[in-house]
Amino acid sequence: MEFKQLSWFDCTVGQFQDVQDIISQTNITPTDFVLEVGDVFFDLDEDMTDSELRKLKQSISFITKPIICKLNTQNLKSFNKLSIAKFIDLDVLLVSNSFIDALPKVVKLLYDFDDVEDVKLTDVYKAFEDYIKYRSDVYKKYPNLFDTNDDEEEDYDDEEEEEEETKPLDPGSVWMRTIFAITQGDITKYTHVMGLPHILVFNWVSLSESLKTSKQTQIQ
Amino acid sequence: MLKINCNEEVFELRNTPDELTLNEFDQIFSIVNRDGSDNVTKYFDVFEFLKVPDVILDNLSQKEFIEMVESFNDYELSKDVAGEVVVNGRTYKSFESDEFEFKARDISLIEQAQLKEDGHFPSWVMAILFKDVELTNTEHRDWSHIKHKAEQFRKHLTAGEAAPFMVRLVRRQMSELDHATKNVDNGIQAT
Repeated sequence: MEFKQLSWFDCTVGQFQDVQDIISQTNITPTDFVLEVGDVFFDLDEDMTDSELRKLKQSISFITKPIICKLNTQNLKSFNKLSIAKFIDLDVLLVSNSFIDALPKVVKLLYDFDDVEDVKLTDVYKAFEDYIKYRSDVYKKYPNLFDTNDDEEEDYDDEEEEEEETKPLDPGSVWMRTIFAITQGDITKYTHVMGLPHILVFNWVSLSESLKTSKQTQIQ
Repeated sequence: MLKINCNEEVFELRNTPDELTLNEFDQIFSIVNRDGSDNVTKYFDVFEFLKVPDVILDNLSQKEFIEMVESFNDYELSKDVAGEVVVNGRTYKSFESDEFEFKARDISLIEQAQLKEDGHFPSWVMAILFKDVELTNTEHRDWSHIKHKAEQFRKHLTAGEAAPFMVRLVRRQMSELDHATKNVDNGIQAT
């Protein structure tokens, strides 16, 4: 059996996920690993020989290399024009899923795909990476809206232990509360607000927060 | 068979692969490949396992011990691997083609057997490599079947049948290691 040399350009999103699942297995022997990854890309012969195994190993060696690909802009939504509703959807997906599980879901929203399993990984991976970076930049731009301080846990003292026991809100509920605050609880404004660009909403809320803070300073 | 004279008595030490059962080969293989012991201790343990009397072992000079180890390891080992064995009336084959080559899925099972560390590695290897001609591949690779076969092989096969496979297996592992080292070296050079 011959195996052609594969690269990330031959891999679909579904295959990428399968490979990552195999990589994350801890109790797998080296040959099992090669066979399982090989099974993702080829219809392997039950009686495959040792020399064929070597060829297979070479063929799938691309999985140890970084994924380097260009951004595919076709049908890709401009990140900065995303509505707040879309931004929230993406945010919830990224917070509640692992990097690998989030990939197809995020890509589906960014490109409006019906099914992303068979899409070439290299056609969408850069957009996924870029979006993660974009989201992180947005968080940094609005420090008064998003608490990005990772050291917060270290500040916990004994008195706060009780608070720890209360279950943290899921990301969807946090965003729901934010939207509730923006619409001032007026459900008739919900659809309108959710369609607004997220940047506009964040600017608005950020300004409102700043005004609140300066008012409080004046009162003091 | 080695003959060791001691106090006018002769002790016969089985040392050629055909004189050792697969079960004994398992134990010797396990002692020789044990981590954390020096070779002298390992050989004393092997001789004790083969029931060399204490009166011999306790009175060996350094020179005599070295001669005994050299004689123990002085035997002809067949380079040819057995293609077929018959155990309890059942026929098992290790290959059907002209020449023996490890199968990828068998290597995978051998790697799993290696993790067992139960002192029976060679018999696991033999049970994995020899396929009952009347069974399917799925049945052949079922662990409960492999376990049953390994138990039978331990009783009925000898080290003479297992040793050539173990030599090939070790050679394969060395070559894999060499290949992996070359890949790492190439990677370092590329960066």
